[in-house]
Amino acid sequence: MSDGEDNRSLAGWWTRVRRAWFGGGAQGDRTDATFAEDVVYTSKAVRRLIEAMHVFPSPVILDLGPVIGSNVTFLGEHLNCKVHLEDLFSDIDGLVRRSPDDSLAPFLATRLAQEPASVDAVLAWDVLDYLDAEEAAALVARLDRLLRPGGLVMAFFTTVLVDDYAYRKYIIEDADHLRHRRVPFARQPNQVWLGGDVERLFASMEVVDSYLLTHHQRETLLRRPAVARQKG
Amino acid sequence: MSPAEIVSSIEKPPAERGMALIGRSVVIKGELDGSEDLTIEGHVEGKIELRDHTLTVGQNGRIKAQVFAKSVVVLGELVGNINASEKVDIRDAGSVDGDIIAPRVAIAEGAHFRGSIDMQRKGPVPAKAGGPAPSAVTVPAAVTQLTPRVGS
Repeated sequence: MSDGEDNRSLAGWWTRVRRAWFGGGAQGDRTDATFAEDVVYTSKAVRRLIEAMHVFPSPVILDLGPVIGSNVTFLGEHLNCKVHLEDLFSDIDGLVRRSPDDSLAPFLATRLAQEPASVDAVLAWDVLDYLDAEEAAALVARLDRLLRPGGLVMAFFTTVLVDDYAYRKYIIEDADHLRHRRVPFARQPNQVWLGGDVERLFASMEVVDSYLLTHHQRETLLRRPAVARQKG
Repeated sequence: MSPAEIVSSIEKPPAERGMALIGRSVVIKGELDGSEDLTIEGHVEGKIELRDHTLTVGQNGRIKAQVFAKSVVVLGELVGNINASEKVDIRDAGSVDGDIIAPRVAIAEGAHFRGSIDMQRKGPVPAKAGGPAPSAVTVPAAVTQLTPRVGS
């Protein structure tokens, strides 16, 4: 149990229920754990994404993570694709170190310059964990604009807040395993996005698959429907 | 050729290996067209065409150009788009800012890249989602064995 959690209060009860149901800690319920330096974990979403992408003859993929050569090679060999590499972590790191108190929302609202409806899949990894609600909404609005109808977003969400100024590089070992490698970063994970939070954040998209994994992470695949959904 | 002779020939500078070399002090602005492998250690700005040959941007090379070649190896800095019919290889100290079109691309850990990579090939591509990821970064076997693999 984390510090300050009240066993008797309704809030304490709700925190425990949320953790039991959704596998994570509530917002502000930060553990003193840190990320492992370099560990291989099972992934469910990568294979699912690769399989889903086969309906596109030559998909266009937008990778928001750091540049990882072996991931590019993997995607090229499996998907016959074009990959836009947009290292948001590098940009966020630089901006936050220069101006720690400034919101990233204006930057994220304009950062990705691809043509509207030109992308078939977005590898968002866990970048949303490092953003507040306003910043995340700005990024998701941008992704929604870039995705073609039927396009997919692969996003990871932590279920436990760690006390670690670091992010993780996700290196594709194979379709079922990702190597998580810790990299120092200007921010630490900002909040736990629960299932309902994710659905609200991606209100214009539908959740295709959501995998709650034992390493305190939820892998989620979302799809932009062929017909636009009403927000709300 | 014996293994020792092969190693010896690789260690020789490009010019001694029968390759064209643009040296560190050379600055070229304009169009560079060739029909042999080329190593650039100097500065080139404009356009480079080596359609059936390999361009190597050496550690000291600084290129600001559109590049068309069979293969491109980058150990220095390249700003501009690359169109390679076989492979682009960005080594660990290499830096590329621009878009790449090539069927195979290798980016070493530590390399800098900003842009897009188009690996689209003509014809059907076999589906093989279960296979191991080919890696541009070689991981020593001992390290791989020591790393815990956690099931979920």
